[in-house]
Order: sequence, then C-alpha cells, then structure tokens
Amino acid sequence: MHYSIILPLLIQELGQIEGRKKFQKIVHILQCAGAPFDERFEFAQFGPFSSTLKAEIDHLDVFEILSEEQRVNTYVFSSGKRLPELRQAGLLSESPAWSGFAKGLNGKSASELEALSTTLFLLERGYQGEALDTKFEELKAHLLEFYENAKEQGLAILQNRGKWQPLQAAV
Amino acid sequence: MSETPKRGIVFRDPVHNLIHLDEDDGFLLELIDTLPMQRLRRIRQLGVSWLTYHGAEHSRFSHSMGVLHVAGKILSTLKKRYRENEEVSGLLEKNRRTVLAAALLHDIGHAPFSHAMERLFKANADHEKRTISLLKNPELGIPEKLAKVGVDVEEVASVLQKLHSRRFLCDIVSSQLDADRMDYLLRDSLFTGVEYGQYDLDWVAAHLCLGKEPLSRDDGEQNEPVLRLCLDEKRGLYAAEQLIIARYHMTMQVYFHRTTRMWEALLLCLLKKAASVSVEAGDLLDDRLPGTPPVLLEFLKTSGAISDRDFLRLDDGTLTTAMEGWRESGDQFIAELSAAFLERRKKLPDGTRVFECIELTKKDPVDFGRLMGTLEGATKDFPAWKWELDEISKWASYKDFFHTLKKTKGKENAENTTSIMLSDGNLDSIAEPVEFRSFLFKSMAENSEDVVRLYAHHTVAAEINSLVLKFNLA
Repeated sequence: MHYSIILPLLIQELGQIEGRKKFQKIVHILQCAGAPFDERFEFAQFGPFSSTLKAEIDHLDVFEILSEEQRVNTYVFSSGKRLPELRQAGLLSESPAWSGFAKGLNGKSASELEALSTTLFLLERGYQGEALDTKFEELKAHLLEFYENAKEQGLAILQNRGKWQPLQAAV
Repeated sequence: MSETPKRGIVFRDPVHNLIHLDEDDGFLLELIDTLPMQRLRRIRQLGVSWLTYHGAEHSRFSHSMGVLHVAGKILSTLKKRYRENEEVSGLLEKNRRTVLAAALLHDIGHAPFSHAMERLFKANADHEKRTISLLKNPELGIPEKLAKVGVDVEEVASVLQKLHSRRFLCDIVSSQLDADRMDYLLRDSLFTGVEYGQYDLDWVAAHLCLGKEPLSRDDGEQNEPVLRLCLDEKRGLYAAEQLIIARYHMTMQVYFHRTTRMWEALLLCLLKKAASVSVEAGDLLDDRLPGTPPVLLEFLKTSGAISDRDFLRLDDGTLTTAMEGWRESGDQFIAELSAAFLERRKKLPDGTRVFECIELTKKDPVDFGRLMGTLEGATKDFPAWKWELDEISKWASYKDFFHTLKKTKGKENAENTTSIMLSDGNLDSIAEPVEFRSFLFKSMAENSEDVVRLYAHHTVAAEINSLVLKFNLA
C-alpha cells in the first residue's frame, strides 16, 4: 500500500506515537507480521531502520498530514491538520485488520520494540537457536532483559504472519 | 586451493587498470570460479541502461572485481594509518579475508537486469537476501572454500548484512563510503560515457580513517564503543563533496534517466502480464507464452520464489530469449511489448508512444492518494501490467542517495548515521555526519526534489493523464 495512505492510517489508528525510534520499530514489526508496508529496512545503530520511511514521514509532515512535534527528549507524532481530508476522500478504511496488533505495539517501550524488531530482523535472516542468542547479545547487550520475551514473540509473529494474534504481555 | 604464483595474480581492469591478488589470496580465485560469481558475467550492471547509453554493457562480474580491488585499497589505508594501534591492526589482519570475500561476493544475489527485477516480485525485493542464501548454500561450495582458509561464512554474511559487531568492517562493503559505490560510480561513468561520475578515488581511499559512532552507547560495560569508517576531517571534506556531486549527477543523468526508466517500466509490465498468464495457464501451457524456458516459467508462476539452483539458471539472456518467443504470443499485449523491447521501438507505426511518461510535478499526498486510490481500485480499467509508478524516493537501489541528505526540521543531532562521516582519526573522537560541516550538503539536503513519474501503456495513457490533471498533480 502506498505510504501516503498507510502511514496516515497507522496514525489514525494509534492516535499518537512517542518517539522516532518507536515509529520506525512499529512499522518494521508490522511489516514482518504481514501488514502491507513497503519500506526497506537495514540494520543501523538502534536496530532496523529505514531511511525511506524517515523521508516519507518528513514528506507527510511537510504537507501537514502527520504532525511531528518536538518535546523534551522526544518527538511526538500525531494527526496533522489535513489528515481528515484523506478520510473525507474515502482513502482511509475504518479499521485495518492489523489495528489491534499495532495498538499492542504502541503500548510497549522503545527498548522493548528495539529488542523485538532486532530479533525479527535476525530471525528473517536465518539466525536461530544458539546463533540467534549469540548475535543478539553481540549487538544488543544492553537489551538482554527484553530478549527472551522478544524471541518468543518474534517466533510467534513469523509463524502467524497475517493472522494478527494479540501480542502476549511483556514479562 | 588453486596454485597461485609467488608473484600473485594480475587482472586487467578498464577502471582500475591492474587488479592484483597476492600469493596467499588463492581462495579469492576459487571464489571467482564458483557458479554464482561466473553467472554475474551474464548480468548487466545497469539493467536496461544499455538501451539509452549503448556503452553500458558492463557486467556485475566486472563491478564485483572492482569492489574487491577498492576494498583492498581501503584495508591497506587503514592498516597503514593504525599500524601502531595493536587492537585495530589486529582486527584488520584477522578480518581481512572476511572483508575481501564479502566485497567480491556482495552482488551474487542479483536477478536478471539487476535492480529492475527487485521491483517485480516481493521475493526479489531485496537482492541481499538471495545473496546470503547463495553464500551459505553448501551445495554451491562457497562455505567450504572459505573454511579452507579459516574464514567463517557466517562472518562474511554478518559483514554483508551490517550485523558484524565491528561496524567499520561492514562500512567498507556497505555504507555511504563503501567500496561498492566507489567502484560503480567510476565504472558506470566510464561505460556510459557520462563523465560527471568521475571523482578522485585515490584521494578518498587514502584519507579514510576511523571514528566513534555518534549514537553509540558508551557505558563501558555492556556495549563497547562502535567504530565507523570516516573521512579525515582535514583532507576529506572536499573529496566527500565531489563524491556526492558525482552521485547526484549520475543519479539524475543515468540511473533515473527518463527513457531508461521507461524501458524498465515496459519490461516490468511485460513480466507482470506474463506472470499473470503463467498462473492462469497452470500446467497447460497455451499459445500465450511460447518458447518460455521452464526455469523462467517457474520464476513467473511462483512470483520469484524459486530454489537457489534454479535462480542461478536465470540471467539477462534467459529473459531476452523468452521475449524472442513471446513476439509470437497469442496475447497481443505480450507480443507487442516483447517486440518493442527487442527492437527498441518506442513508438507504434502510427506514431503513438508504446508507453507514455507522465511527470507528477505536484506532490500533495491527498491528491496523490486520490489518484492511487482510483488506479488501484479500478483493476479492470487499469490492470497492474498497464502502468508503473516510479518514485525516486522509493528507489533504494543505490542505497537511498537522497535520504542521506534529508534534514529534519530543527534537528540538532543526527537521527541516524547512515551518511558520510568525518573524524580526526583518533579512536576516541566522535565522528560527525558530513552534512553538519558542509554548506553544499546542507543546501542539497534542504532543496533536493523527489521525482515521481507514471509510465502508462498507450491503451490507458489518455485516461491516466486525465486523472493526473483532475487530481491537480501536473
């Protein structure tokens, strides 16, 4: 789905997203879970990152479809003044199948999402078992407290791709 | 292992003149002789650009040899600069073969016509995934050849996927300062005859250094500081600007050339239709895809999800051979587009363009959404194989050139560090993204425009043009 539809749809469903890192990770995880986001992610300092997604968000912000507001220590994304125009044009469906799943992700912390997104990135590239554990620790030692949960959720997400089962609560 | 003479091996190369392999680099010769590497001789580096620039016939193979050469140059510079630092020189020595193997093999996963095919099927959207699959596939022999010289294939894969804990090793093969783009700019410039792509490789390669990742956590316990490949801040700034200007001009003049992209759109539309027909026909092949090689048929039917072995049987020739047969297709669309491609015929006998290029000069997302909603919602009137949207901002083939320059309003710190970085070379110094220092980069970041085009088959071009006008996008 084209970004000028699906990103406003995401914001419509979530209301707001606190932090650029959270925005990136939510989209990456949704994509892994089967939602029709087209962005290409690469591994960067804070885990999977898409410079395409960043440019798309900037573009939608310039046209006031999304709003990116700088607050102390973070940026908050919400509906822009012109988002209702997309709704009036009938371009935003009421509630996509992935809406509840996305809301579940938005309730997690940026660190939890970074751990889950990193785990999914590794799983999709064939890491499993001990190799997965070792690579995660090598790359994200400071997120080890979230790893076991991320691994369980990551495997479930890939197994149930497109089924939109709710994420289990973080341990 | 291959016997390598004591004097080493020398290859002639049109860009770098001579490419040397040392006596103890025989494993690279063995890797060059593998099927995945040899196949790259039959895949053109620039997809369908040869239809615009007749000299652009160079292959992914020659580019891969060039990347190997430039990676060797970068390693030599770093080795010399940090010869007195035991940790860095030890790391470079230990990982030299891993980096060289990654540089040589980085493109083995390319489908026919290089990046063009990444837009056809999701399964091929990222050639790097196929590269990793081919790299690790024991049947293809690469892991064994690497193991013989003590190189772990997983380490090579880590470098290619930017998952290696020593990030600067990944940067040598894949970053804004990598051996990949340092070679392709010069090579593509030479073979297209577009001289804007030239820059001073020797100067850039000689002034590389390391610096601390600005976003790295330095808590001293759980995470070690991350080192990145940088340009020397005193001598590298103008070289970086020259490199970026070269990329900008090559992007606009060659990679995103309006006519080249039209041929790519035509090819994609032809293959989308062929894929749809192959699924419809199932095992009962009719007259719509005559003479299709079985491996291509499988590729089309499975939306690109074929085995590594079958993938290696696909090259540019497989597709053009199929098109030769498709000229006689019972499907008029397939026959017309195959003939147009093979004969490089942009117009029908009555002067109508086979594909019309419609530039979208206004980019309001609401208007754009209305247009896309109409096109995607009316698949009967506008089937997917009759039009192709081409957005430079979606075009990651050359590693997000434009996005490295984007600047977010009010930004004080880097949100990500995928751009070129400068450092004084001291390992304790924090590197700085070059756009913070360069007036030229800042200006390009603030003023670069996206290019959005719609290519439409002549049977729908007039209607799509009307919609573009109706939605105020032209």
